[in-house]
Amino acid sequence: MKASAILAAAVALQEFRVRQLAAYCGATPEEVEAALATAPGWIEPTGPQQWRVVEPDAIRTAVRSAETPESLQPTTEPATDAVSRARLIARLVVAEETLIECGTEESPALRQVMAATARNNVLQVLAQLTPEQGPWWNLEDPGPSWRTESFNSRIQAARETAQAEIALPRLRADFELASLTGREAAGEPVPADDLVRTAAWLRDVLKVIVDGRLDRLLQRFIDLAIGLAGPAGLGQPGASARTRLLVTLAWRRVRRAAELDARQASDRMLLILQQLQKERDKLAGRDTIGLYRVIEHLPDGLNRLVVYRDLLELLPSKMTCHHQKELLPDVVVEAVADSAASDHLAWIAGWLGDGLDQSPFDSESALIGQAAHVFNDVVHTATDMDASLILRGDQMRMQLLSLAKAPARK
Amino acid sequence: MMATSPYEDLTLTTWRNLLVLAVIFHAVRTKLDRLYDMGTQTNSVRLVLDQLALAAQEASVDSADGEDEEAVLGKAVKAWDANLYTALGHKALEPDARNLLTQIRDLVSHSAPNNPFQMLFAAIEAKTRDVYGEAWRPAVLSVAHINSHPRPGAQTGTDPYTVTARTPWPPNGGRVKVELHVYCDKFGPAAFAVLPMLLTHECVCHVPARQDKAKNDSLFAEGFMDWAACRFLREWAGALDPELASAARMHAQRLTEILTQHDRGKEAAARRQGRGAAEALFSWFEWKCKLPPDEAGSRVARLAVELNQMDSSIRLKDHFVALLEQPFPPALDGLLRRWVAGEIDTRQLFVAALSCVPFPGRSS
Repeated sequence: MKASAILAAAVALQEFRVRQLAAYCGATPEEVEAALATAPGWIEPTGPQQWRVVEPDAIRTAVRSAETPESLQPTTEPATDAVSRARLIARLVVAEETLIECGTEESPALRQVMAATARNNVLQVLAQLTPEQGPWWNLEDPGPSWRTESFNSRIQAARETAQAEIALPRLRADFELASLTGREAAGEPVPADDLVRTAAWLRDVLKVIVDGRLDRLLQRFIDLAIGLAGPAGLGQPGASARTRLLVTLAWRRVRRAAELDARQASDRMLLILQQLQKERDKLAGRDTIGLYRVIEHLPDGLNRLVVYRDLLELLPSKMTCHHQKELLPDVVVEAVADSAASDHLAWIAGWLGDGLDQSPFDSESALIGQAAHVFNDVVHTATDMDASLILRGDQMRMQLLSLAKAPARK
Repeated sequence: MMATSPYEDLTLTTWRNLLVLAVIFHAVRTKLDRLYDMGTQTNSVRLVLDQLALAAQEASVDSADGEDEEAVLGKAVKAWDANLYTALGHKALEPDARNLLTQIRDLVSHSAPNNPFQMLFAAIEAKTRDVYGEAWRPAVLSVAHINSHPRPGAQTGTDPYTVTARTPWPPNGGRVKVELHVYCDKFGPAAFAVLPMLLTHECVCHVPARQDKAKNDSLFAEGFMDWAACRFLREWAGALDPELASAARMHAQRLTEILTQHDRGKEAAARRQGRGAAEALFSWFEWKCKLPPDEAGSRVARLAVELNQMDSSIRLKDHFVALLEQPFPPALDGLLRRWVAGEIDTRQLFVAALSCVPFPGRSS
């Protein structure tokens, strides 16, 4: 063992025990003591077997003069130009896995750190793709919105250099999700626009890339959006029990759908957020989500309705109602019904609405349970009109009860 | 007196089988590289390795409970020696193989029934204790059998490392248990040669770690720390066992390549990035601080060790490692220079570095 190698390790440790220094440089304690004896005045004892470096620069000079020129050449190039594609992909994997793990991290402070870790990884990948635009840490303004011109311009620039494995929409979606995660953890309000935009990026990515990690990322986004928007939708803290039931069902159904088909669920998630945003904008006109509303009387006694979709399952088969479009996916639809069906739907909606309004329980699961209970009563009241209602009603009730048990997530 | 397995997770028969193999690989450790390489390329050497596995199995199964380890080993050695004798009797045996098998036959005749697992572990534990000093936690080795390759789907042709190790978290009681999990049916020369790396990783990275939880995809624990563990192994290999040093270093490198390059999972990504961060820091010390290479390497190892023994969330340590991408943020650059100059200690560096790039969220 060369004395110079031992002394170099000594400078690295600054203060050390003999055995400790020996372990750092693969020497024996005897070799260490012999090396220390060659540097009197540069290293001084501070106790039994304890030493401290007092002249590090003098030791470095001595180390350099003892080494061959080749051994003093830096052994590896700085990483800036040598980062391989594999390293970029690794950073992307780490960023996304970190974002997904935020869903199981209880501490908001640690979630904020994790969001920063993920965000930094995304920025590092982007900086590697656009080295002419400066270092990764220069991309970000620490403002509350986290939407910076520099990020957007860099994404634009990266279009020319991006590699197949590093999809830019994916980078953007990861960046947006990291931003949302950080703001949620910091207790900062998140504008609805940001949720809608992130949902759109995720949908676009899922359209073109099949990757189980992206599926889990969407699930994480849904959980995060539910936590941020809440059971009342966007910006409606005092929403009625009826609204909360419908929004909760939309969240829980899309969350379940995401486990089966992320691509389809990403479409639905975007529609839900867009619809909630519209509803919020209509709030001043009291045009909110409801269980049943006639929006237009049509010729021949038909009515155009906006109705809670599950109610359609409780219509006797002789009544006519055509489902026309999804407003709040899987939960509220626009439909055209004859007058008998309209009356029947209005009757069930009234029953359910009264039950929800009078329910002493406030949780979202209790609201769903209340709906299941009312459906059960409706079915038993109306079986003389259609015996098949028993089967349909039971299926609906079971589905609602399973949704009521869905765990709440961060 | 009844013989017993020294490890509660191994039956006596499995232990005897494994011990025979380990003792023989230990006896021929100067030839392990060659034995492994020729075993993958030459039918005659592959055959004698298969015969060794069979001899070990038969000796362990056929021995009475009361027989001691020396007797079991003696039976296996005798049986395998006969196999080697037969192989050497083939006139068509390649000269390289003949030379190797002749040397191996001689080395095996001097094998002693010491427990190579325990010997290696004790030597590595002693070295790591010297590194960590008072922060060291006493550790105990456990050996267990697994029924398949530790990396599902891996083939021994491309990944001969049929052994893995773990350190259960949190430490239970006074001693930390390091568990070696061996796929005994496929325990070959490469798997034996990689034991020093596995045990060094567990001792350096996990036994003395102070953190909130274990995380297999931690940039810090599995990447940054692993870089330090590999560095320590390179330094220690000669002292741990000079005759095993060459094979230990080479197979440590090969295992690292498998764990970081041939796997696209999140653990591999974390290892790759964490090790890359250590490399980036090493380069930065050399290029920006103009430190001699030995000092630069020791500084990275010291930082890893001191962060590892610092009681802090693994999330924070991962965040710190993720910042180490060149060019470093100016604030981090300044902090590291102050750390090199001895103006701040590792805790101060760590705490200040965490927020050197703003967190998302206003209240950061």
